[in-house]
Amino acid sequence: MVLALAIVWPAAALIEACFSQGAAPAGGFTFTARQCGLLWRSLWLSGVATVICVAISLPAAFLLGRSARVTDQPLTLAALLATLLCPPMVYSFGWQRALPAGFDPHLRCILVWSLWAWPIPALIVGAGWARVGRRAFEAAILTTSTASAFVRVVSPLLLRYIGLSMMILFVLFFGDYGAPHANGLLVYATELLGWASDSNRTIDTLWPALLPVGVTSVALVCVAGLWRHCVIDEESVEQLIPTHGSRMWHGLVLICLALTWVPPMGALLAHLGSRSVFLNAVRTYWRDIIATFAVALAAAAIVTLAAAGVAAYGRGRRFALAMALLFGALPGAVVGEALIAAYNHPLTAVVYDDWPIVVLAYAARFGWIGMLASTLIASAARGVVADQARTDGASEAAVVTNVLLPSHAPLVASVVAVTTVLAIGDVAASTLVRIPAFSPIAHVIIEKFHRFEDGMLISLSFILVAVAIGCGAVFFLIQRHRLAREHAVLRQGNRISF
Amino acid sequence: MGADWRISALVSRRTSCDNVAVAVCAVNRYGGRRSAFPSSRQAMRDFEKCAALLVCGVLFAATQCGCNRKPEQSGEGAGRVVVYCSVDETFAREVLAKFQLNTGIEVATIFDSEAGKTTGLVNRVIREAQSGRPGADVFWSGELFGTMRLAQAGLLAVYQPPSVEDIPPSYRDPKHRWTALALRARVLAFDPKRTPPDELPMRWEDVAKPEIARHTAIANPLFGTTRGHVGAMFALWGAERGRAFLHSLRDNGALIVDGNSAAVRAVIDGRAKFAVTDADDVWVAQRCGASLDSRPLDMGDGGTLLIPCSVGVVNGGPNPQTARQLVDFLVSAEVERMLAMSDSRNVPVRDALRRELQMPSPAGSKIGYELIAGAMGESEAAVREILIR
Repeated sequence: MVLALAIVWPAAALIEACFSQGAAPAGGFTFTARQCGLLWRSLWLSGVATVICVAISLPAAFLLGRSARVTDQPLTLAALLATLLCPPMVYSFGWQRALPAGFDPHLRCILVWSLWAWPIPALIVGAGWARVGRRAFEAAILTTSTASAFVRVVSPLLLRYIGLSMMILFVLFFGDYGAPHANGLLVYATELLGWASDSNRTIDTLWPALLPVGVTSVALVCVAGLWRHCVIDEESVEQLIPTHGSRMWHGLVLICLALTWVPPMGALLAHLGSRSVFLNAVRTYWRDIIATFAVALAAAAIVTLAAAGVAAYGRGRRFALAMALLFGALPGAVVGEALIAAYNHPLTAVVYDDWPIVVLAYAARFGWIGMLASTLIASAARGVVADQARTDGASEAAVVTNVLLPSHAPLVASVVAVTTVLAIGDVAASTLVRIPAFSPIAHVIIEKFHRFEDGMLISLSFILVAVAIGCGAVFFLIQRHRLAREHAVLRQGNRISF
Repeated sequence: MGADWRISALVSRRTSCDNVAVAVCAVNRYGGRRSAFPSSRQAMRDFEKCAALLVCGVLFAATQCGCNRKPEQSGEGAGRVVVYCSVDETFAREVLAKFQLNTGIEVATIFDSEAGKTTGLVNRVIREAQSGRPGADVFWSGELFGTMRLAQAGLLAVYQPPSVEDIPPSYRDPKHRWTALALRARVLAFDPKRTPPDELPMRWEDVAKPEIARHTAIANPLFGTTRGHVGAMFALWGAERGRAFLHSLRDNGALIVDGNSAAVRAVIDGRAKFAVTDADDVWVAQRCGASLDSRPLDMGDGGTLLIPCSVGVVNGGPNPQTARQLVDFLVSAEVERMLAMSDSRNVPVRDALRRELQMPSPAGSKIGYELIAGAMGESEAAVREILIR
């Protein structure tokens, strides 16, 4: 139902609107030199940031990969999660104040992206290192040098994980509105939102959106091909013996974290001024803050519910994943257009006029996160315990509900956290579906940025930072509790049997 | 036997456990109360119940919100009014809060976005009207030309507020569909530490000269007040000179940015020496300590373009009665005074208020707003063809 309301129906309405309004863009079926120039700028900015980001992430990936599971290092993981959950827009404001005024905005944008998103490749490549890389590396160094073992043996094995990370990063950067805008750069995503606001004809937005969608699709196809090409026999994680990272790796990860947080947040803190500014910001915008959080949480809840539903029922999983990925690849402006096309109607006024349309916009834009999680959960369905459950007569739905979902609790929690925070920081999708009830806090922050209201800007930014750190802290506590419980069960089991 | 897999499920939470003892432990813990596990059908039913409850909750809440949309009909409280507003949020919020305090009418506002500015809101009003259900009651704009476009499209209701008698006729629609007030001047911003006054041009047309244009930042002229400014150039100079101006801007490498404040920021950051912007953007940057000054340039007829804010009642809006009350307030001298005394420093159109506040108006261009609105189609097409292509 969520998929139908947030994705399938808006997609159909978008196509219908294109044809009913005349299926030819105002400028004809051509791309202008300006559009191509903006595309090129978006491409090289995203590409460079992607490469740097992967490079920065390697120490953390190595560190995480030394455990049997990445979740076995709750503190590192929580720190990475908090880094990722803080919107890049906020880092941009911090780096603007930390760097000299004349610093090149392109470099600043690349810096912001790289130092924001490096936890993504760290987690993915770390998982790859834990699953396939480490054992191969340890075997290879018995017969060859460390460098040779890494280049000849490990790199080919990790290629698919690196490719997947790069694709996710590239798509995120390519479609990001906040960081380029906050750095004063015009890129395709920022201009597309302008074009969407400039015209009432859906095709005028959809046609120029085909360029970035094409680029994203090419990236997706390349990574899918790479993933299939690099078929590897993944070893069972259970067989790996966790080892501890050396001080050097811990130190490198700490340096990355410090570089990510200290300069921008320190600069923001230094410019905050008095405490009364912060209190004034909270007093003025508390309704908007609460409404923004509530709507983002509602979006995360329905995304998670949809993911659980898709995983439990099984039917149409591929279709759901394909649709969700398609909407994830669409620029936010097109997602907004689709929702307007679907719900700007007297019969659906109840959705269009109030927060449900914002919830649906976030669910449409970030539904792919839930669907990917449901795929991961479903891919674990061939495990020993799940098979045992089936043998004992459990239905597929019961296996998902009682076996797979509980054993993937951190994943489910991560889906909720990531979707919530991405929704809170979103500007692109919610611009076209704004409602009278409240102003999303990201929009208020952008407005403060434009009005040079530093005190308000920094205060509201710190609220988002607090949410990110709070999510990280909650994740850490849950995970630590879980590990402690598992250790207790293991100790008890050992005492009873042996 | 049937519950064995559920015990295994608990065990599986430790995925690396290859220790039989864990299973034994789990059996010991749960073996005696297998009924605690729901059957698979029960589990699915629970899941479906949760999903249904959530959906019902969402629908119920949405219905409640939808009911609030028409307080006049439901007769609850003092009512509600929905405003689409492109006046700067900081100043508008203060004004609307005062109205809410005075009347008890709940004000729900959609502010413009930096991407779409007034144009985005105008298009939203048009789109909602086309769907047969206008969502806004009042359109309060930071400029005039979008409001005129709505009036021409028949989307603004005829209404003459009682408090507009002291507003000069040139700021009122002859057909009483909109009222304009609170002027802002178009200016050229610069950093006085880097640019001595003798380097500044005197006329807007000079901005396109190579020595100025290559150091100038200008907002995308398809949006906001820059859109009206370029329209005024076309109206006053004619299409040929207007197009030549745009050609020169492009050929000489003027920096196109996505908003007036971004243009000002380009000067502050040192990426440009001049910014074509509104006076209030310079005031707010100065207040933050930026080294910035401005000069209103001559359009060619003795003054710069002065752009007023504007207000109109949206035709067929859900709350027509409260809409009129709000418009009465927004066009009042009280609001014009508030805007004049804010950081926006809008110049009142009321002579008496200008004298009272000792705010002389900068020399303004004499061209009529109707003429500018008439030239805007041509200027927008030229901008798309020449500058933003």
